[in-house]
Amino acid sequence: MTGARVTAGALMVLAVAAVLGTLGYPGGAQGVPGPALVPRLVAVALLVTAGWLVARPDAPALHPLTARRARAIAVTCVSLLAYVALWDAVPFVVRTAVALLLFLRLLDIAWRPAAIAAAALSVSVFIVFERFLAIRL
Amino acid sequence: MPDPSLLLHALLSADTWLYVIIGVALGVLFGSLPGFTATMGLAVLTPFTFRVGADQALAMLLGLLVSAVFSGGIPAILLNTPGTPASIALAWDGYPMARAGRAGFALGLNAIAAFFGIVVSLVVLWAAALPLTQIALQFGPAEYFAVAAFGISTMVGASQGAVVRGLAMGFLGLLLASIGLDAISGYPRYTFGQPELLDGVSFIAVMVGLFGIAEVLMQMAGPPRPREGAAAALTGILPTWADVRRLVKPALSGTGIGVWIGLLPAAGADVGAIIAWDQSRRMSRTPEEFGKGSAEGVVAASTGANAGVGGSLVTTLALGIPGDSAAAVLIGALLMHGLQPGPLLFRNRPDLVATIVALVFMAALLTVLWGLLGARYLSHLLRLRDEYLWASVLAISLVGTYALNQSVGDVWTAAIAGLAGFALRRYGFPMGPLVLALILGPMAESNLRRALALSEGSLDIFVTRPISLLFLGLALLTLGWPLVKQLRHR
Repeated sequence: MTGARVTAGALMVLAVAAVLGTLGYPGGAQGVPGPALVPRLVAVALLVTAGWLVARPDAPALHPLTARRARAIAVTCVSLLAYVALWDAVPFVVRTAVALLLFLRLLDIAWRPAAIAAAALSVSVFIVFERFLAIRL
Repeated sequence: MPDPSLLLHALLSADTWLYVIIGVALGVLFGSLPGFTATMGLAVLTPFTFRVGADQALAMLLGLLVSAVFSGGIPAILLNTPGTPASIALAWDGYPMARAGRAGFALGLNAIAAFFGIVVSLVVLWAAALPLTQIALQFGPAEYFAVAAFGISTMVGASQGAVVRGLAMGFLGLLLASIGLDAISGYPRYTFGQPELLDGVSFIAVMVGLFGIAEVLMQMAGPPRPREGAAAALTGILPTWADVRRLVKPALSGTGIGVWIGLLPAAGADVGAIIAWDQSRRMSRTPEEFGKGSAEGVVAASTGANAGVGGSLVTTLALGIPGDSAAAVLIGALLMHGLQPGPLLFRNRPDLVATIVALVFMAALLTVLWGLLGARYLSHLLRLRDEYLWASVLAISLVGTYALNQSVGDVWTAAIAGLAGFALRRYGFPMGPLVLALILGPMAESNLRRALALSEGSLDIFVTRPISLLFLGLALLTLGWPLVKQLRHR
């Protein structure tokens, strides 16, 4: 229940920030609302609904995670962000093969099939996009 | 109405069949890859069509359009990762059905429903294009706002039982939709000085994040998929007569809604599918099964998406106004081939209208054959170990998002949407309302303010125009009905 409450709380913070963000926007003229009206109304509505969910989370029961699987998910999230951050710095095939190898190893796939799958997938995606669709990766 | 014998000219030409097959094959590729869209496929293919005549170009482009919208449903059903935005609603029931060991049935239903939706929409295109475009011509900002408001109101239905969470996600979607340059004043909102955000948040990138990346993380966090599901998936592709009788109603309502939404400029197959799914759920005798693998849900979403193709072509061809972004690219391609879509097209070139109807029919026929024959082989995908499927989805999702605009900013959007989507979905927040609000938010806001500018701030404009009043009434009914039902139960 704590996680559900934290998620709803994060939405409340976002809503407050969104309302504050509209304070400097110009007003409307001749009966036509300005650019602040809709985001401000929507943010207030989000604040109310998220506030309701903080008070009454009622989240569905979660499937229990093993420590090993929780760690795999956390590392996947971090490596996903690292993969995007290195997009322009490391060539596509190398970057993708390493990321996929890491991902498959995290999920307990043996070294050999993991390496073959990572290499095959990254090379085939590269060929489809670069050669057939002329999209520079 | 064009002479029906004109249809035979295209249908009996081996050359035309060849070009339609090329278009359909490319559509399968663009539709099946998450992040790729029919619009992108049309944009990529258009320059290559210069080497052939206008009729052959149309054959390839329409083949691609029809098969991409259909093919987007394949990863939606098998992997819960919609290939195109039009198949988001299809995943809501198609994927649970596949998880329950009925992937072949879901794929078969999708193929048949898609064919049904397209063929009925072609009849509309053939027979009722002119009268329908007269109605569409009466649409002004007030009517567009009312239609968008009605679409957004269906987020309660798309909340899958979690109404307050669904509303919160709808408001979050509307907030995300307001990022970028304000359509009326040009004032930048929530852009933080980043030029990438001036055009707003990329909807496709968000969709890939929410339904591709977040789905992989959800499956990693969930219970393992039962292996026996894969074996069962290979049987029962075709519906029985009892199924057919039960599914006629959602097929008809989905098709009607899809055609109507397709007719409206700026509201495409994605919106049509979601509204069709929601309305079928309301009319169903077993609404509680929707979202849990309902065959009615699959049929409604599939017909809603695919009938939108025909509806959109009516507006595109008869008015020269794009029904959605794919139709906008199609207009560009037609203009490049010296064809001017608009009211005169229907009067001056009945042969071309007949050719287009024949080409879409041929593409639909090839697509349904591919859908039915391929279902047996496609469902083999489920025999792969989950880990390899997840790796494939992650790699293709990220690269597909990059391919949109060749922008790393879009990849960041997808990655962040994926992580946020995982956190939200894990705690029971439904993604349907967020997507719906993200699609319809800009249309609703800009037309609300345009209508108020026309009426000098008076709200009367929304209730004195009959079409606007009708849709606002439907929106109120859609929002209020669940509350009334709850009160009745008490």
